Amino acid sequence: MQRYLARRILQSLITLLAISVVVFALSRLSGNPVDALLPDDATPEEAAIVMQEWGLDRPLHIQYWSFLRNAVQGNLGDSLKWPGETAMAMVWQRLPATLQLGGFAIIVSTLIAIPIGVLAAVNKGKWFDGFGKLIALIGQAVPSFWLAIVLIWVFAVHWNVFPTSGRGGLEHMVLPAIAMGWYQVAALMRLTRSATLEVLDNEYIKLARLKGVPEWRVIWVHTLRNAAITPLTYFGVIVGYIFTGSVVIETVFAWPGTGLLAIEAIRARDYTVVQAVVLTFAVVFIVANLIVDVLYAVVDPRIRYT
Amino acid sequence: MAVIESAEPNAFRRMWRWLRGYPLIPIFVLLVLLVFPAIFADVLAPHDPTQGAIRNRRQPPIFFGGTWEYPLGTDRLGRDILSRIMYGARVSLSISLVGIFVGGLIGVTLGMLAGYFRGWLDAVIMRLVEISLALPAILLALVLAAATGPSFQTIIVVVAFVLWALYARQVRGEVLSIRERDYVARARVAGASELWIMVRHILPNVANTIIVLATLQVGSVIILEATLSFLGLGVPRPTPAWGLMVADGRQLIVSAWWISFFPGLAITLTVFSLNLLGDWLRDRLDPRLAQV
Amino acid sequence: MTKTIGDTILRVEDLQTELRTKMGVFKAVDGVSFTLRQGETLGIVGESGSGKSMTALSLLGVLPKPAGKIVGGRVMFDGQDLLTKSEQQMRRIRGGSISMVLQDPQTSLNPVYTIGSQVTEAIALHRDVPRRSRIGRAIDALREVHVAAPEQRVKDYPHQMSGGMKQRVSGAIAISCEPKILIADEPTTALDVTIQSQYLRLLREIQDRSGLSVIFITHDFGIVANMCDSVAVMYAGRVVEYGPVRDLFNNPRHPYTRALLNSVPTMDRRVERLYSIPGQPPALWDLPKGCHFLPRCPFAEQRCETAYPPDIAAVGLGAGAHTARCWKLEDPTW
Repeated sequence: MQRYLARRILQSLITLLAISVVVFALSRLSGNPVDALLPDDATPEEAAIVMQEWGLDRPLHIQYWSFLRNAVQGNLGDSLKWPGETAMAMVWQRLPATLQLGGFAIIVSTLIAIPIGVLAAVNKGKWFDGFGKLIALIGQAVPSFWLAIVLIWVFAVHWNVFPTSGRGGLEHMVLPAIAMGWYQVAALMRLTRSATLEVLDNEYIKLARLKGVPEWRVIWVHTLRNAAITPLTYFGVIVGYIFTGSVVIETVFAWPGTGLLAIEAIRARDYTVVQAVVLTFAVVFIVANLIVDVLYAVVDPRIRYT
Repeated sequence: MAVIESAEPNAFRRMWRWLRGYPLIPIFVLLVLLVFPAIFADVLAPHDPTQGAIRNRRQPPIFFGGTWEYPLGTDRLGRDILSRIMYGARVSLSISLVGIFVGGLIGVTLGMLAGYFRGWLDAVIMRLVEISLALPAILLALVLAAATGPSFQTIIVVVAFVLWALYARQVRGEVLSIRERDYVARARVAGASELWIMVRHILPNVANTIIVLATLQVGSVIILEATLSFLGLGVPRPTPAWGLMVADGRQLIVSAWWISFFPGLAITLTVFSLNLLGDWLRDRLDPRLAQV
Repeated sequence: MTKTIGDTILRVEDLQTELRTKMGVFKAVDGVSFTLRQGETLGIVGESGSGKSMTALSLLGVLPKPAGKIVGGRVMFDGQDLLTKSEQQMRRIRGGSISMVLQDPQTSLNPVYTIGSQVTEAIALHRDVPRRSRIGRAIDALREVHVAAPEQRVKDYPHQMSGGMKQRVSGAIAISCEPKILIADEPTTALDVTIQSQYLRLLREIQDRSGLSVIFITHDFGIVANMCDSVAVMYAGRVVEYGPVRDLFNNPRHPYTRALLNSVPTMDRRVERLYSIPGQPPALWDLPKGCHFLPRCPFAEQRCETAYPPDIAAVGLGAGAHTARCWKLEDPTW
């Protein structure tokens, strides 16, 4: 287990490194970042001074090395557009809001999707299964940004039961969480359904019934724990979707999180902040996948890591 | 035990039964909503999608106080929404087709190389696949858009980047088993070159997988494209892309709901039909892909 | 054998179970009757699809859903008809009074729970034992099936055990609530030959100690000869021959039984298909008119085509409760 963990961490670091190369390369190859720093009427001499100041005159691999060294220390540079703020500080400031909304969306969609998936499997071929299938198909077809707008239109404007935007109490999270989690519910439900069907076919489920285990216990204890293994592997993907989804949802609902920050930074052409957001998301995503791998071992004792 | 006797089917009934084997409604929706408008937008569209008259702005759709002149209403610049949706189909379809083609080409090529030659090449490519799968699409789009500004090419790069790894992984897995088959060994004994073997003997055997994968992906690529456009990371204005149109109407949802509503509905119906079609095709051609 | 056989505790009368499948509705169990006495071991023999497992599942009311349905007959246990009981009442009987061991030890234990928790679950469900002493009961049950170091083993997961060991654990689960009847559905088919005989010895030992009645479902006449007091031979959903094991072996009356006995594999010579009979067992949705064995029967006659033969008592040596369903039994020369 420890060796496995060490290897997985090493793999994650390599992935992270690769992402940092991509991010860095794009920032440097896509035109001179100095253009963004200078007023339009700057002279070449002024440009040269700025380049030297930012170390942009040095060879690329040295630039990358110093970028990496700083990045490891959590320093991704100053914001280009919001003076006096470091990019990481801005991300840190916005991260709690995103974690709050994202966490809420993940929990709610899991709590909805898994029972529906299990019940759809148990009632295979009956109306409930068809209903679940329909939800899944719709869920995978509706774009989240549009769903968000329609939700605002119907629930916030027309019926006025939830606020239209902003961060606040629980009522502020309901609509964004639905818009964010809808797709996950669909995907998770389909996975849970097929995993449950597979488990229900097993002899140990038959044996549980033969032991006189009540049906609810057969489903929610004996079946669910085995069936949960497949959706669990998908959990890392969900975290990724939720975080990238936050870019869309936070924009629509004016939720002051990192996703909104990313869009604001792009509009302001503030590359260091975009970089900081992207790398933070990548770290969150990779850590989530690591946690999933460890949880996997807890849920499924058959997994032996070597 | 009694056997249920079925009546002798007449020609019409036979035809109906044959048609019933196909997902007719999704195909119909796709033709009407996506394919015809994309190809014939110039002929079909009643108005210019980019030119509007200010005096006609925010016309409601028909049945909501509007006229047949603008069946789905007009946006805040007075442009006809129906015409814009038709031209938007062209954007959605062309981006998804080109993106899937580029991503598929890269993915299939690398997947075949990895599966066929194995060894270090395989290790490197699979590592790249993992990394690419670990980098969420929108993040890449953010970086690219921030670095180069949004454009048609940017979206193609994003779409291709998201897709190639899926093709590479799937194709590699299949090639690993195909390369062990007898006809491959026979071709090799007969002196065929590696390239010949790959193109002639292996590619046709992974064709089904590629087709199914591509069909299953059109829907999600359309959503991806629309999302990027919505965020302003996609094709720039005034090109009528569905996601952009939804974004345009966002602030006006109270006073002119139709500006956002109809383009979004077009996306939903299109993707819904594409997914149905993809599921059907997968069940027909390659049921093993159920997990993809 | 030292065991004593007591009064009848289970009487199955004319049990009928239907299966509804794509191929249509057909009788998987068609008028099966037998009795089981206290301490007795009844073998139910037949090839796959003969309805032997369906019979067992019908007794316990755990037919595959929604395909299976009991449509007739009675299952008298403890003076009550099990078929009229509610699901809740049946649950108390399942695993409590009647328990079952399944064929494949590899898949019959839940991979995500420890051995201990799977054994204690049955105890918790059926016996009023305080939480803390349940694990002790589980350890006792494991010791009874000769699992070494049961105190440690309860913390193990199924994947940490061998097939034979898992099957013992299944046995421990089955006997942990001291049931009156144990149904063993081909419990040794998936095991190695040496492990198989150990397991059979263990079953007999438990039976001697507790006076348990056993219904032993198998396709292996060798095991029947070793283990059983009486035998029911099933073919296409019906019991075609039924009687004490000695009578049946010494004087098989049904052509099918005869054919089976001609090709008995021994413990060290296991055969997948044991029959020297030409042809295939009939599909249940496509049964021949008259006697179901007719297409494969070397002694077939005109009357076999017209009607299925009734139970006919065997005459001759030790003709006690020995019956068979063949028209030939009406002939004095048969």
